Amino acid sequence: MSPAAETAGTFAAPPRAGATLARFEAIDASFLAWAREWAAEEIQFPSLIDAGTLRQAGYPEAFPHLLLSACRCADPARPLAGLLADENLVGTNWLLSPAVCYHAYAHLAGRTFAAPAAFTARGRCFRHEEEFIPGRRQLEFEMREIILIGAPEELEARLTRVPTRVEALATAAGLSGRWETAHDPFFLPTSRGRQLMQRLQETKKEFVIHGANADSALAIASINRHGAFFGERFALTLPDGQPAHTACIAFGLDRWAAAAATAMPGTFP
Amino acid sequence: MNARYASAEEFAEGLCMFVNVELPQLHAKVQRSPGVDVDTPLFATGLLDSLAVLHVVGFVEDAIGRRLSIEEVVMSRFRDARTIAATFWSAPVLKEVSHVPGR
Repeated sequence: MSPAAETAGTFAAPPRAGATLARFEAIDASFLAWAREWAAEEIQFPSLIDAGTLRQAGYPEAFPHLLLSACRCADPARPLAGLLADENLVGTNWLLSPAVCYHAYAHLAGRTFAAPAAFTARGRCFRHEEEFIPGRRQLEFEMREIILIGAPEELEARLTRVPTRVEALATAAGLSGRWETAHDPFFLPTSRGRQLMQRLQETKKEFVIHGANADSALAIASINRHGAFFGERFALTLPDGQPAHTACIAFGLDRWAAAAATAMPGTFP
Repeated sequence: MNARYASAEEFAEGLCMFVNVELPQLHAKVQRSPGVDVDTPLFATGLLDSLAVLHVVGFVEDAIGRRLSIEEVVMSRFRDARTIAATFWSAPVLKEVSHVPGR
C-alpha cells in the first residue's frame, strides 16, 4: 500500500457536507449576528501565525505542549521515501494558530482606543492533542471569537450581558449547560499560581454542557478577561496612556455543532 | 481535620497571621503587615498575586494535610480567611464537577 493510501481518510477535523455543513454555518451565523449587533469589525485572519506574535502573547511559555508548527523540506530533491522523514523537515517561523484573538492583537498593535471597540473573526485553530474525538477534541477546529478592547468598565458593561445571551443561544439549539469557573491548561507546574489566580479572579468562565455521564462535560463557549495583559504586550492603549483591557468571547463551533446535532438532529433555528 | 488548629476559627486566625507576618517575608511584593483579618477579601482587591496565592494555598494544604485539586480552588471557597477555614478545616475532598478544559 502506498504511503498516501495508508493514511487516506485521516483528518484533523471531520469533513463537513450537506446538513452537517449547513448546521455548522447556521450556528456561526447566530454568533456573527450578535457580533454585528455590537458593531464589531469583521476580520479574516490567516491560519499561520508568526512565532514572534505568539511569543509576544506569551503563548509558547504557557502552552508549549499545544503548539503545532509549519515545516518545510530541507532538501526538496530528496527521494520520495525520505522526503517527509523527520530529519528532512525543518521548522519555519510560522506556527499553526492556536486561537484567533492573537492575530487581532498583533493586527491592532500600537493603536489607541478612544472608545471601546469590538472585533470578530472566525478562524481555524490548531492544537496538539493526545487524542482525537470528533466534535470534542480535535487537532483542528474552528472558533468564532468576539474581541473587546477598551477601558475595564466599558468591557464589563458588555460582558455582564454575555452569559444570558449564550444561554439563550444554547437553549435555542436544544442545549442545556451552566457557566463554570475555569482555567487554561498551562503546561508547567510552575504555572500553578497563574492557574489558581485565573480561578480565584474568575477571569475565565466556560459554558459547559453535560451529558448522561460524568465524563461527558464539554465546554462549548468561554468568556476570557485578560485585564491589561495583551494591552501591555501589544501596546494597545487608552487615551490617558494606560494599557487597554481586552476580553474575548470564544465559541467552539465544532463542539457547538456536534452537540446541537445530537440534541436536535436535523434542525437549527 | 488537623493537629495544628483546634477549630476553624483558630485556622482562620492562623491564616491571617500567615498573610500578615510570614507572607511578606516570603514574597517581597506583598505589603508588609497588610492588616488582614478573617473577613478581609484576599483576592478581589489585588492584595495577593499569583505567587502569593501559591503560598496561601500551600499554607492551607499544609494545615489540612493534603494537596488541593485545582477544581477546589474557587472564589466562593477562598474569599477570605473565614471562608477558607469554614470550607477546608474539616471538610472531605471537595470537587467541582469535572469538565474538559476549554479553549
